[in-house]
Amino acid sequence: MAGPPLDTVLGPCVIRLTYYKVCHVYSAAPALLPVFRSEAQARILAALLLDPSREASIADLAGLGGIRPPNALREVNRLIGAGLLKDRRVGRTRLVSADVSSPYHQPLVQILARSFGPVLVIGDELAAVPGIEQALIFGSWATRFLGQPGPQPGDVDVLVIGAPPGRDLRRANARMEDALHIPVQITTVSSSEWAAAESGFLREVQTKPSITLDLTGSRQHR
Amino acid sequence: MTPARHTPLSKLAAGGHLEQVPVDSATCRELVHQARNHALTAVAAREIGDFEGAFQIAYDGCRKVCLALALAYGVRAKGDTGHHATTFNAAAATLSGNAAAATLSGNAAARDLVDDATDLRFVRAGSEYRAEKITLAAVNDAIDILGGLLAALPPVMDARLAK
Repeated sequence: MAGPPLDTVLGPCVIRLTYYKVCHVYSAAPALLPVFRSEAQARILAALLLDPSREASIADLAGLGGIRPPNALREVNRLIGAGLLKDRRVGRTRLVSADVSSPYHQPLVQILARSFGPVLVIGDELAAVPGIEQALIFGSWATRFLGQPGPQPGDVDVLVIGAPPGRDLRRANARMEDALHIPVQITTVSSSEWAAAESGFLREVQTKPSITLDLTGSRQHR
Repeated sequence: MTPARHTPLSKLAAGGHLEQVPVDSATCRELVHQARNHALTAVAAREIGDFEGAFQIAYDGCRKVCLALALAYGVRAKGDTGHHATTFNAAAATLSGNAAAATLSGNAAARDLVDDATDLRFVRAGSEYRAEKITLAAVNDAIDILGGLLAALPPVMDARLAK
């Protein structure tokens, strides 16, 4: 049974977020891991370094970073200058991708996968599992990701709403942990349980900050 | 299949996750015997509605069959964090590139079963650390996986012990 729309359930507290469309201020250093120059830079690096086969235009990267294209262009030029990204032209379009030959590539992948990868990796993995209606990241990782300072999260809490096949979901869970090198704790509830929200756990998830994952598989099928 | 489960036995040992032990066929066969009993107990627990008990005993049966296979190869997981996962990984590693296993039981199918058993740890963790209820579907899955392992792995183990 389909529950009410997520926005209805969560009211004004919900912060809808996908990896390509964000509604947040990204000019400041990211609270999740404040070693990058800006949140936008970290998101652009995560999108490209965590998927080295990916090529993106400046406009795409601006969307990913939640910044204007001229700012994205400056970020990209800075990262190309540092040897972390490379570009090529196809007609009038400049396509940017990770430069895997950089000596900093692999260490950065590890840092980004742990700090910024979960939204991408978990969303992609869950998109491939049937029977999932909605999925969100909640708990301390979501709180840090959404900008609230605090201790580094030790795991990523994920709520799956629907009725996915157990083996498929567990296999996806294993792949997430292999990719991210951080425990991913998945809790599954039915859509009726989610709508009723009778448990303290679900009420807490619904009232605290969370990240709604993009389950369209757009990244896999682009 | 995840990269962790592609790790060869030699690399698991070199990484300090495994220790060498003398091969004792009686111990290996006793573990399989216990796992078969666990399968029966899990079914009985399921029948009375004790899903948490049924799952736990089925999971333990899966772990023991995999441990028996690893012990037949003279290795076992060191008793530190994650030793259950290491036991499953060791069993999967014995099946990878194992000609005898491929001949006897269908290498890939047996490895998939070990992977499925490994993934049961997520259900176990949810039950033990987050007090999540275990569903009948998860119990049925665990019992099915244990049944599959009991059919696939003992012949591989016996072939190894006969060498």
